[in-house]
Amino acid sequence: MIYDICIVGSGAGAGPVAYELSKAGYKVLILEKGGWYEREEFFKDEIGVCRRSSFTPRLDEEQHVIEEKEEGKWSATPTSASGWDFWNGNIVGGSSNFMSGYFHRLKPKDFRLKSEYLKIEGSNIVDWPIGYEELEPYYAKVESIVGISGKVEPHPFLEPRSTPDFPYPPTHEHIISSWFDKSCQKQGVHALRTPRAILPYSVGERRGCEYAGYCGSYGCSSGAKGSAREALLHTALKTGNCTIEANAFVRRLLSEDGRVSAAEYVDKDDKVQLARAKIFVLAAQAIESSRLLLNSANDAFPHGLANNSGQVGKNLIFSAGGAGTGAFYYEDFNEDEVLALKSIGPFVNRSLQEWYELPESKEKGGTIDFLFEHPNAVSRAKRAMYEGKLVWGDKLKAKILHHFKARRIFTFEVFCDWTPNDDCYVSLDETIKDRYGMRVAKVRIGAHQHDLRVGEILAAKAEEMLREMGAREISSSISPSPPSNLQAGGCRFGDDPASSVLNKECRAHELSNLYVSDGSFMPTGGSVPFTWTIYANSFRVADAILAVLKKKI
Amino acid sequence: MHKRALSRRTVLGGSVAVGISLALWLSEKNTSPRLYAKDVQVLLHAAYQLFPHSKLGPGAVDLHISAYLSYVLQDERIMEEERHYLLKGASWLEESAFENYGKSFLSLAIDEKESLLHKVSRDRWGENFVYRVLNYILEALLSAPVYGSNAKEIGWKWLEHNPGFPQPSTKKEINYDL
Repeated sequence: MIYDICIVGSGAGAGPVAYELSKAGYKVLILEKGGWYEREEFFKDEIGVCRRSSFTPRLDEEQHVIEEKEEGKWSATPTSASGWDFWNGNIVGGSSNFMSGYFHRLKPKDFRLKSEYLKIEGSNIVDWPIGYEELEPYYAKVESIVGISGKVEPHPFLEPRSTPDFPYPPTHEHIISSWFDKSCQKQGVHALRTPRAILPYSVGERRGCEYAGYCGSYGCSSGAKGSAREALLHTALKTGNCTIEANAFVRRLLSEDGRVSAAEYVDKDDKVQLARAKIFVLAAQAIESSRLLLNSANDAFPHGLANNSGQVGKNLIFSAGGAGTGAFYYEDFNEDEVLALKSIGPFVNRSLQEWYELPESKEKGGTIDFLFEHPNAVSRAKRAMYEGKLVWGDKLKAKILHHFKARRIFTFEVFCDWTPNDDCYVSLDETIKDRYGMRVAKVRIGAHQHDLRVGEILAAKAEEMLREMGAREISSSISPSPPSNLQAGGCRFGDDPASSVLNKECRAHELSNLYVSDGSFMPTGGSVPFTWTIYANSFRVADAILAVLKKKI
Repeated sequence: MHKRALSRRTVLGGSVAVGISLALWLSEKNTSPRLYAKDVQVLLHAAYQLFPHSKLGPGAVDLHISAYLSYVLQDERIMEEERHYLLKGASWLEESAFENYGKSFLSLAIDEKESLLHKVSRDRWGENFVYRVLNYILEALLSAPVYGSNAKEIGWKWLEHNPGFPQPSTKKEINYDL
């Protein structure tokens, strides 16, 4: 069978294309390398989900090689040796199943970083080939279709909106949110309700949030979280036009005459198959999308598919920043407050964008999200294992008891731009192959010093806020190590085929029927998590593909 | 739904058995069954020593650590070298017991066991071994009881921990590959 569309991957970059194209009557095939799990199969099982990473590949079978600079030299370490896992949820719906759903739009200036701000030496910053106004209708579309809850509140960096407010009200909030608001008021900054891709009540077949208290890292058992699977693929499947083949690993894309002719994949029985379609959409998450193109080299594209410009894999970006914590000791509060402070379930839902642009230097700043320490118990208990050296017995027990019963840890996460640079890119490792016989991605993760400095400024602001709230033991860490779950770039879009991989519609400059709809297209990432932008852009790409298909008919 | 039918955790059904059946399982995979049975016993006793029952809270025995370590040693999701390190570490601990006290770790007095663990944890292998044992003790303390430990949710109750819901309650629900 020749499908209209074949999509590689099934996460946030894939879902909108599958949703729109199958609803429009086109035959869609999704090839997902991982298994297919539905909400009744998700449990708050810290061992299976988080400590054994059951929804990502075994690192001895499929891995990455990470290049870090050590003492002035680049050093490569396979993740099977380091345990630093760069997979992010390889099942139907991809990593959107496991996100926390902190959703922020980019701001208009984020589309024009090069034009708006002073040049950063050693950076490869470019403006986007589209403006905010072109993406805005799609941000709004994600709010209603994927389901984003929140409340619009005026603040200096509020982006223009085509609708007055979010379609869903905020989820229930923890008492600490009100304490946060009071502290912000004292400090004269705007406490923002963080928009969340979480339904506060049931809509259609998706149940509203059940406030289990474990959102990030876990699949949602109510369907409230706006994963691509819950929010989009279910609808696509109902049209009868969408087929999802799980456990189907695409090892290369075949091409002839400037078109992708087939996706060569290994099916669940380890047999090699070919999927044929009129249009191919790549959405395997940034690192893997670049890797697939590089692994698809052929005579016409000796350096990798769509890579005669040499740009595939280049300018990989992550989210720069870091995190910090403060402790709220129960002894500092009355009995009722302690009871409320201990409650698990309601969300903090607070963020600050007061310093999205730094007032003194007029440099780009970022976003600070506030939340409680993840409630995963083993990882919390493990923090008690060291006191200069390993401790055990009653000493260990006393420390664990202190951590669990004396206080609650409030945390913050700093998101700022990861400056694209020549030392952050995807290539293929020369020797290590995965269990399918394909070369694995080698990822150089060089961070720009500028980002660390901006991160430190934001972390200091966040620490001030925790201090104002009465937290103790406040600390933070801004690191050049990237968060492996926040990746984008590698197949930039742009007007110039010499310096970009994709055109402004995210179609490969060099292949007329190949689109890339995950975060790979982003030349810069904004100072926010990427998922909302990936969803929005994928809806935009879907419209571009629809226009092409309609023209042909 | 399509799921890849792998063999992972196909042995999990037996993981709630006690340590001795773990030793028997290991004996089938190795040429020195007696040695491995001993290593398992040393591993368990090291765990008992590292996390004993006390006024402060439950101990490794209360948690059913033997059942949990049985699961760990058979879980293919944990790299084989990591699992074997646990037993290798136990064998080195036993060697150290003979070197320092002229007898098996199993025969040492409580104080002697404690001193020996402190001594070996100053070496890299010993620190790695003790770290791993403690890691799995804490997993046993706070994992879903379906894994065979945290009996009657003793760990969660001790720390007033809310584990979230839903929790897995059957072997099938934690067998993600079937």
